[in-house]
Amino acid sequence: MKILIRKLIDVAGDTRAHQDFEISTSRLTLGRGTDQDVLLPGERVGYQHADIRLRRGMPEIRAHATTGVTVNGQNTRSAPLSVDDEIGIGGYRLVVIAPPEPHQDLALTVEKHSETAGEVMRESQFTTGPEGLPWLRQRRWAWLGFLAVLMLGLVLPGMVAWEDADRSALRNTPLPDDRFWNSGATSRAHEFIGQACENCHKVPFQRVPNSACADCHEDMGRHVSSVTEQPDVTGRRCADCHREHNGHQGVILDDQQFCTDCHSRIREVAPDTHLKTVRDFGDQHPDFRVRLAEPRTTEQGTHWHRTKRRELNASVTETSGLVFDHKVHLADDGVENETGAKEVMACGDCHQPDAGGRGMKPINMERHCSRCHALSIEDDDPDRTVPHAAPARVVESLREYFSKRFIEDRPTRFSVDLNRPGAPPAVDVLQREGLDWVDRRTGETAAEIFERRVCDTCHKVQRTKQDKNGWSIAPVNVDYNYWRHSTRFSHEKHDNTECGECHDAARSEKAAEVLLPDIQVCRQCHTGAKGKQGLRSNCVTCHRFHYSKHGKLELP
Amino acid sequence: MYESFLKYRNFLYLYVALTLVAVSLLAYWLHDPLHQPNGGTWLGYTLGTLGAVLVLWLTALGIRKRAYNSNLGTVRGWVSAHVYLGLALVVVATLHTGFQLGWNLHTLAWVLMLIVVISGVYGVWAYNRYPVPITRNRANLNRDLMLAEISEIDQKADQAAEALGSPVERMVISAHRRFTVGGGLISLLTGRDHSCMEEPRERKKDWKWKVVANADQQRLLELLNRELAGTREQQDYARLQGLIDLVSQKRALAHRLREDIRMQSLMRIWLYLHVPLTFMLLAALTAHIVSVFIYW
Repeated sequence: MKILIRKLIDVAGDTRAHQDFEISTSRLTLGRGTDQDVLLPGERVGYQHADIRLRRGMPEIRAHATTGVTVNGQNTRSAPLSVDDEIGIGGYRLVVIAPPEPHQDLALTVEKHSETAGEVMRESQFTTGPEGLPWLRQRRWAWLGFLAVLMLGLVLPGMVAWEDADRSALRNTPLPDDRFWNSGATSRAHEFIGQACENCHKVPFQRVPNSACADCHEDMGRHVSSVTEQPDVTGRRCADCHREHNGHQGVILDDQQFCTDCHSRIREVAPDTHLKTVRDFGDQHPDFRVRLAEPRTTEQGTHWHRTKRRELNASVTETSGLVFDHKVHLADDGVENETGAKEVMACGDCHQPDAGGRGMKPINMERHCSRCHALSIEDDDPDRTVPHAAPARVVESLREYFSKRFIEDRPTRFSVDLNRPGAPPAVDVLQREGLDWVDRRTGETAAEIFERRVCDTCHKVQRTKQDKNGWSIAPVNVDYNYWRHSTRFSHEKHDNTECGECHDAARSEKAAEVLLPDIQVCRQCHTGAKGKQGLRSNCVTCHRFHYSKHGKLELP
Repeated sequence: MYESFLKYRNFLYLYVALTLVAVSLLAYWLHDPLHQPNGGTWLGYTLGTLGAVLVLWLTALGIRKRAYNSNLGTVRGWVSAHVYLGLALVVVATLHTGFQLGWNLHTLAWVLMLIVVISGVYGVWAYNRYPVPITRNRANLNRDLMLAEISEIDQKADQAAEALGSPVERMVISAHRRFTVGGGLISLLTGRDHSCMEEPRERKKDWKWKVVANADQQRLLELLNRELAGTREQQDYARLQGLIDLVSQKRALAHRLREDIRMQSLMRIWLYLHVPLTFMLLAALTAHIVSVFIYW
């Protein structure tokens, strides 16, 4: 079809000029794209805003842009066109006019709208994005946040950290203080220090010094003696090993690798050591060795000292100085008591845990033995006893006893007429008579008590050569804590286990037998740290690192 | 051809980040500190230093993207690396903590880092989600053009309403005057329309006018339709129909404009969290580093 396009141009005021040109096309395209038949420059016009073509002989406009076109003021997607129809596209007005030439199918005037007289809204009138909200300015919040966090996180706590005099005043404000820097809970043992950082962190920017630890732990033992000192064990900071703020479980290293690093090759580390190689309690731990108590008698008296470590086997015997038969006392049908009746005894009747629950209290004659083992002077008078004391004291008490007996019983026992004339003075006679009698009775009874009836039941007794009324008793040690020298076994933690499961006392007939269990007994429950099941146990379960026997740790 | 910054150089920085994560995880897994893992072991210090350097470098994007004459890589490459290394930072920093978290400054820094990264992840998602619908919705218009068109409709409507006289005239003109787009943060993000109009309530001596909500020009259209139903005169009927038509056009256009504002706002809002929190993170990080050495 042939189309006439008449462009109306404002020349001056109301004067109009126009430019005509004819286009021959089957489809007249309108838009701001340069390839369009009718070029309509303007932002509100689409690249190909609309087109016009013949439909059943009638021109029809179709909009391609989403904003559509208006025909006679009506917004539309498509509409048939006839003469005098007014088309609005963007800011342009197109009017259909009667074609001036007969061969033309359609004629259009095209003009730009005169600018609308009223106000046109602009985006700047409205808040159309977050950047338009004054309170939301990024920069303001960025700097405010930066300063707030720096203030609360560094400056205020730092003021407390550098305050020398009165930290509590600063800490009592609701503002954050140096506790805000606390990276984690302290161990339970140190919880009481908890909030007073400066107790350990003495000087800002300096690591926790050993002196901070020594404020409380002043007598820490060395790990090894100064003779066999290991440079990588001593001369370190306490905090190198004892790391705090790692939670409640404590600052004691329980990673056995810390120990086995050296102890799995202890011969290389310390060639002269008596220690044996150990890797894991489960299978690479030496059998138990035991240090026993041994009496050493000097002029000052008897002292007990520890023997060297001995392999724990049947040939190891203990020098307790006692005669004792566990088997008799623990017989199933009981043991004869003071009334002659059978009484069934249990381990706990004599062996009581000590205050800490770790070891056992020493056995005590008065408390544990004397009810049945009365120290009676004569069988027919069981209430009259000698003290549980040194032999001389026992003989002395016998002599006192028989002297009293002589005085009280004389009228019946001695019918001498002391008032016969010419006789020696009555008192002399009586004294000599009494002394003889008391001496004789004391000697007889002491021998019986010491050697046959009382003392020798439990003690090793010997008559002394110098004195016919003198005996010596072998020194006694019933403190079992000698055994567990380098471990920290706790009886209390094992109190749900029967004593007999570990200590084979019910079959022991001699006090000399060491009733310490074999390592295999422990392994019934305790596996090593690498164990898959059971009670996983590592070095510090039983051993300690700092031993006071090696002397006091000198902290650098 | 546009290519997403995510695919920059065939996912180069994705692989860099994955390598970093894998090395960190492997080191953490192999590391056997004397106590439980924490920021104070040698690996803890290493991961912490790495994390701090990463934070500083990630922050430097803000400088690089403003440095228009910089030759230090393309901004697209920087953004690509920023995204992937920012995600890797989560792993590095979390391993640095040794999972020891609590109510303290150090965990504050970690939480800030996490929020910054999460807001950044939203940003990546938004930059992927919104540009296409925004372009489609705009249909070659910009906001000023949409508003100009609305103004034009308003003028036509005002003229039509003038011929109809009161009360239609005041209803239409008040709806024109009280038309608005955008608004507060919530309105921006939800596209809520706060436009109002004045509605005649009583008819004794005079009209009593009340300002009512006119979201989506809904109320005006209801009132015009009611007016239409009560009109007998042919000419007024046609005028009212034309008016309703115009208001409907305005409603469609205004909806398009509000959609544009809503989607643009949703696409950009994360930066208002991302940037200020980054600065807070820098402060927390500074405080964290300084404080652990004050109380060494």
